[in-house]
Amino acid sequence: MTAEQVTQGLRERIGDALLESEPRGDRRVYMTIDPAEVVAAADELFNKMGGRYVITAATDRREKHGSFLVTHFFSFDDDDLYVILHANVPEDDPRIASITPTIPGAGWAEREMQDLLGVEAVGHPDPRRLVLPDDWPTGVFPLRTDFSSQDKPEASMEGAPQMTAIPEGAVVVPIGPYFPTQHEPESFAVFVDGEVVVGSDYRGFYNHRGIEKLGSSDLTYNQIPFIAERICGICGFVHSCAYCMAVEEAAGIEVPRRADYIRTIFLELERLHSHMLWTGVAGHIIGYDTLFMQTWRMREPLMWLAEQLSGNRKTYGMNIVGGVRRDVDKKDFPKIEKVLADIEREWTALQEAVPGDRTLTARLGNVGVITPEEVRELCSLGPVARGSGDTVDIRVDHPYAAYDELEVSKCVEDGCDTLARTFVRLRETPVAISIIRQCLEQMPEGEIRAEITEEIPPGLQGIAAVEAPRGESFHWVLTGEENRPERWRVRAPTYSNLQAVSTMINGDVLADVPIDIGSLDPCYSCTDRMTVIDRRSGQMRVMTREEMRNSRNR
Amino acid sequence: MGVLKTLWSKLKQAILALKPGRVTLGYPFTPREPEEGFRGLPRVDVNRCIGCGGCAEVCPARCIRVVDTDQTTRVLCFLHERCTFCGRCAEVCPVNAIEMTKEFELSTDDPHEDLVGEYHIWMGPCERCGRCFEAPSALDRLKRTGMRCDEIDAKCAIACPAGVEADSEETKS
Amino acid sequence: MTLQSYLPTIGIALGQMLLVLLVAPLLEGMIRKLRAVIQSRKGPPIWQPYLDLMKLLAKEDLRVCASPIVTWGPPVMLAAILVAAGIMPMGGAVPASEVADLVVFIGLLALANLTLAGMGFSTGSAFSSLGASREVMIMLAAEPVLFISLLVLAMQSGSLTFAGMLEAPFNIAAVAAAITYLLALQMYVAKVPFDITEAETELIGGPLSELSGPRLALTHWAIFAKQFIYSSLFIQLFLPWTMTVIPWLGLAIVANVVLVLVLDLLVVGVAMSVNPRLRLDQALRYGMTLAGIAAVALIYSAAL
Repeated sequence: MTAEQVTQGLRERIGDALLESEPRGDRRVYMTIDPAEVVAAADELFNKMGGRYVITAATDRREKHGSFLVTHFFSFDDDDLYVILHANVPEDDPRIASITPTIPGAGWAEREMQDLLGVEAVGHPDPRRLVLPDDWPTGVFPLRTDFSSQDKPEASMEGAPQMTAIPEGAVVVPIGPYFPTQHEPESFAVFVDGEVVVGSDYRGFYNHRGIEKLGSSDLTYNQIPFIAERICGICGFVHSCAYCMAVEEAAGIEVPRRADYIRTIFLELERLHSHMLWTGVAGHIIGYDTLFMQTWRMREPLMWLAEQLSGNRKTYGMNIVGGVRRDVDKKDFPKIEKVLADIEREWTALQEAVPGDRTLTARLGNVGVITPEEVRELCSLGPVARGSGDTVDIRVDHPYAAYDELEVSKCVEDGCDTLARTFVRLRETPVAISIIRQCLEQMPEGEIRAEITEEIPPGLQGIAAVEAPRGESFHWVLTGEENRPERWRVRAPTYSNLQAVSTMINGDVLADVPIDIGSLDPCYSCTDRMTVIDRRSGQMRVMTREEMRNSRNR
Repeated sequence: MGVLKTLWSKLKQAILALKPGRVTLGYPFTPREPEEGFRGLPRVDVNRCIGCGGCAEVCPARCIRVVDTDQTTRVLCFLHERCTFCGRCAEVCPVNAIEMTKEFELSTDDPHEDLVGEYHIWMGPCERCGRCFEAPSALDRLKRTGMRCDEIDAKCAIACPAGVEADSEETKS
Repeated sequence: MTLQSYLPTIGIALGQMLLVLLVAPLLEGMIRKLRAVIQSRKGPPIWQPYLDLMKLLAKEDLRVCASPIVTWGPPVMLAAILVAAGIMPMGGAVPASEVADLVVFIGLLALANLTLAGMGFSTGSAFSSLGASREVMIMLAAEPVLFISLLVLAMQSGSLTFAGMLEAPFNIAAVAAAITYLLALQMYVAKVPFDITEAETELIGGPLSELSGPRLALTHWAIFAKQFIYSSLFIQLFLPWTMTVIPWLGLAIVANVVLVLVLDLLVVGVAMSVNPRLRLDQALRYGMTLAGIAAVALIYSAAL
């Protein structure tokens, strides 16, 4: 699918409802459609043309344009093309037809839009509250521009979402809000019959920090990379990198090639440490603590290396709009080579041992199954998709930074289970090492940061997708006034992957649930990045008590 | 046979795991230096600082406050409790007055007392409005004293040692 | 018989109980240390379990429910294990062999396990009850292995008493029984890969999750003690010759303790370090297989 073909196809389907289509280069098409035809357009792009649904964003543009802007993003991975579908929803009737019946993976994004901007998705199969806390009053929408980042509305429990109906004869096992193997707050209510899972419900978004709100109301372009980096505690560099690339694309800033290479090195360093961390955590979840300790031991020199290169072991603080802040010096190359060689040696031993380990494969095999069809419907990403035979890898499909000049091999497995996802991550680790080596070899000399002399004009758009260790991290920036974005939308990969959990755990036994959830490498902070919260300890207690009650009424 | 093979592979894993030996560090009883290049707590050299406030402008965590306590004293207040060690302040400082030290152990039971860095900077007051506007050291370089703030505005480009214009993207973003 | 003639027996039994009570935490501490070594860690000092127990015992006694099973469960569990320790052979003379035989012994251990399961069921939390039901399932898989493999010795010696079983001939059936016992040891002591009942990362402690303070201490102590007596039983019944081979250790009872420590480190400690936890169905299948092997050995010894 080229940009013209997509435009052509869409014009045939919805005719004049396609108000505007503006390709930008070969890789992006910005379209504006009549909101009445949004379902038809989504159906055409997703079902007929085979595009992948990425995310939905809504923006409050009432002040200047008298409307809400609802944007659906689609991707054509084989053709390196992103399609951006804008629809202007009038402010006096903020409603748009829901695309969730057509694309199940859009469920959360549309609920989030309802929660935060008050744009109703008409016909949504599950319109319960998703993002806002239980005690948030109804009718207050924190991402609207007339809501200040400092506002604290009165608490009210009217809008609290109800748990889905519990199947007959099932027990509710609460996995969360605090659970030993989930290292962040989240809450799965798992319905079990005996030991077999018959259903589940999710209530999360406990980590809301209002980051998107801050980005469009308080911070400036070059302050955001540092808060973007703190969206996630493991793949933070991915977010700051994606944000900077989105702004650079919007403003047309040419980043020096050397900076691209340095970003690539750090992206891969991050993938390395993340996959090692995951392998350890997965071991810990199934009770194999030696695997946990040993992979984390292997990982530690990598953290020290990052500390030396960037100034910090995890939140590198390297990215800034226009390039990077610190150069990777020639004299550090031997140290990098040595750390990589050590890891490669030990990792190879581990990689060889896992398939032959009968207890390990017995625990991981045939659990958490997600079929290729489900992957496509739920829009799963990263190792989850690649473990089920999907080949999406943004590094190859939509090359960014220096990946267009590097050799990246995709790691795809077709086991569809937790074991397959484990193998994907095990195999990706040596690939990351080889990419860093290629970078060190090919890195050109030159500047590391583009000089930005003019203010970034408002109204420009840029998108960036980065292959995080967990899948595609997607950022969209709409530039605004006062030296800050008008809207900055972040979609972390776990946002898509978490929606697949209920499909994955159904039919498994309870013992497999922690490792099934763990096999996503879930990152709740990434997912929960937004909205403004008023944390009241009292409300948390209500939640727990309710769950305790449910778990007692067996 | 399968059982024996499993037993052997398990035993091999145990032996493999014994190889690296003990890696537990004695921290905090034996201190551990961070790596070369580590960015820790920022410290300000008050003799160099010209009080331009650029650091406060760029700080992503908003942890630097600039307050003029009287006509000749400008106080830079670093709330280290919130500092993320990003080093943006040191990066934009036109006179390199901020150094990122290697300090990182900030645990304390009184963050409001122990984690506040206060720096008093001697400023030259404006002849007309009486507010502080430039550090004497910078005025020395211009070989001028007794300035008025509206006069110095045009000279800003000359005054700034980093050659940054007052309104440029650099200090703003 | 007069009361006086029972005194030595009671003395030995009490001595053995005290020994198990005091040494069992050390055993746990050493296993933890070995695990730390395999995990490249420094690990806690080997007397850490004693400190843990002391701390828990000194804590406030909080109860989540008034059920008598939770109130009396921990002491009953520890008592059952200790009485079992009192009647089993430990290198010296076998105490109370005439009144308390193999059946009593296995009954006491089952009582302890059932008490644990009962505590889990009666607290009413989802995790506890799931853990309790797992405990019962595991028991159904592990107890037959234990019983059948010991029955092989009883069959050969023609006696259900421990004193009789110590005299059992050491033939091929006994070797098969010994191997099944050893392979099932991890299951008896409920350590990874068979810590399915507690499964910290799945059931956050299972039946123990609602216990705290002194009650948790007693339950832990009982579990440590259980670990000791299962290992000790293996040394005594299947390797009785070790008691005579190592005379330089002086007392056979000391030799027994040393051998238990070695056995637990080599088998329990290593196995729990290099395995993930099994799923319940996998553990049950493992238990069934071992019970099958033990049954074959039993039939063979009956045919002898």
